[in-house]
Amino acid sequence: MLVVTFAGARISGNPFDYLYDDGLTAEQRAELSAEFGLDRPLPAQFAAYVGALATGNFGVSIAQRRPVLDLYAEALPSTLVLAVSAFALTLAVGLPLGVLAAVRRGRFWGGVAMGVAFLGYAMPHFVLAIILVLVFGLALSWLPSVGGDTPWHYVLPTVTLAAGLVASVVRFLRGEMLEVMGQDHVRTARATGLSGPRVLWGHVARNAALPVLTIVGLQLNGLINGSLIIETVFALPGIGQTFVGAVQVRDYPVLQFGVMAYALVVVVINLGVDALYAVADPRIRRGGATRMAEA
Amino acid sequence: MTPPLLSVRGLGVTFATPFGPVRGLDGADFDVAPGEILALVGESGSGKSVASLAVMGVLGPGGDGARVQVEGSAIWDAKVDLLRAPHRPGLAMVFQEPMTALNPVLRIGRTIGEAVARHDGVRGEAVTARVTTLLAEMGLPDPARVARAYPHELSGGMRQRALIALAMACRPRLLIADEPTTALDSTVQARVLGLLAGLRRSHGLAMLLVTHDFGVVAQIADRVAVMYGGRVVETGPVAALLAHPAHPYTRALLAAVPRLDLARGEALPAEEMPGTPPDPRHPPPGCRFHPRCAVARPGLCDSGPPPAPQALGPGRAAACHLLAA
Repeated sequence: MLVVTFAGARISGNPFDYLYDDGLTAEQRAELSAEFGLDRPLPAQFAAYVGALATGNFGVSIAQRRPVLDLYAEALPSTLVLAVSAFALTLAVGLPLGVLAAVRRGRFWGGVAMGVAFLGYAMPHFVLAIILVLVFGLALSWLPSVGGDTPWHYVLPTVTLAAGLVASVVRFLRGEMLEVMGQDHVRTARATGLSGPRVLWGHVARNAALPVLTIVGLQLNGLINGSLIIETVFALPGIGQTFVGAVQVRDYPVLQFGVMAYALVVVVINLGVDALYAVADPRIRRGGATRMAEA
Repeated sequence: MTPPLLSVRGLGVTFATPFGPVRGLDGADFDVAPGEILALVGESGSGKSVASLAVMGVLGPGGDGARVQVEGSAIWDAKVDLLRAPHRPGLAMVFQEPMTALNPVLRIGRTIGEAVARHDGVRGEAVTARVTTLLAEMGLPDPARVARAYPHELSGGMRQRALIALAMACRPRLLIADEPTTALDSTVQARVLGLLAGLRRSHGLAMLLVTHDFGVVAQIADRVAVMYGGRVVETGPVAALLAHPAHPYTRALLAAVPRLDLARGEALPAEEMPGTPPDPRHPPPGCRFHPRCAVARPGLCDSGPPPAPQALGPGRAAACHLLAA
């Protein structure tokens, strides 16, 4: 991971070529290189990088001459707000819509639910973002479309980011619901005289939602990718912006930290999803009550 | 004679399949008296399970033309929907497959507790107490621990007892049991049958027992209804019917029961009844059994449906051309 980001960043170009449009004299370039340690052989640079990481020093931005950590810390709240609200919106819209799609399958509202889902699935983030900006930002002027100053600024990015996730929640939940509905234990629940809604929400939706939640968890990875594009389109001052900005000027330390942090987040999410499986499904839980023998 | 607890007349069920409609049940009639155990027997596809599920109202759409009454009041509604099960007070069901019939992500106590809350209208501690009592009544040791367990933590026999506890939580007067012991090994099977017999004695419970096992029938049932091709072909008290089967199908079915008193290889029972049960998509004309019947008379059995069941003695009847002739 470290090697790939380190090498990849250096292969793609030199930050000074991008930062100074007018060009630099040989002396200026040498001076800057020395300041950031880029004049040393690559193995030595790599050793210094890893050594600094081990002591918790993530380096200084070449473009902005500020600690990398500070840059990301400033951008984090904006991205967190976006991610959390998109996730909440996904669950708030996706779960009822998924249940609707299953219960009313083959009928009008089921078709509507699936139509919404497929639309969200088929539409790339950036297309939806631009459509939303055109309609709500420019034509209707209801919502701001650029920047992150007020809560209203987050509405369009959140909707954009949630759209794809809603689509997959609806599709997966519908499939799971239909499968669970056919299972024997649902018949048992009905035979005990439980009311329809009780069976639907307490037995069918409950059992169906568990695998769906884990799938959604895995898609948080996609949510992170999406936030890169969306923050750029809506000019939200988040982590994605910081990262994309760093790519554009080959700001090595910022780039390296960004990739590393994303990799870490992906690992943590996957771990969290696995843990969620165990919470959700008692059959996977370890160290629980042992199998009872026939007495 | 006491009026029947459950009375079923002309119960038909049609399944919509990719190959067109299939008549799974074609006008079945049977009664269960209070406190009586009626066994529905027949081959796979005879309609015995379908009949039990339809009476319980958990079959989904497709039922028709029936008059189904519990204690004289009609419970039949042809428009049953998967998630809008009609509540059938006085009825409860024990299912065949204890592995899958319990919700895998809920603790046993929670599943049974839901039924207790529904039928007793109680909450909290009272539910827990009743669940524990029910599980103990099923002969489960350490009922409090079983209540905290998930279905996968229990053995097959324990799960089946938990399922029976769940059914008893509905305070039924009629228990419908669909092959309740088929998935269990034989020692556990005997104990579960003993439990059901005990419940009948202690609660005055009537049962509709669906089975293909004449051993189970002989052990626990009072009366038998033999089904073939979606209809009841013979009914009667267990001892009389097993000793002197009247319908050729019942005779063939009984002859197919493996016996321990025959020498190896002697009189292979398969000879008794050639062929397979009728394809419900294309039922044979006339009596449904005639293509496999050893005594069928051409011109009679293949020409029209068999007559209404002929009374053959106390509580006995069979639907056969030859008996009517």
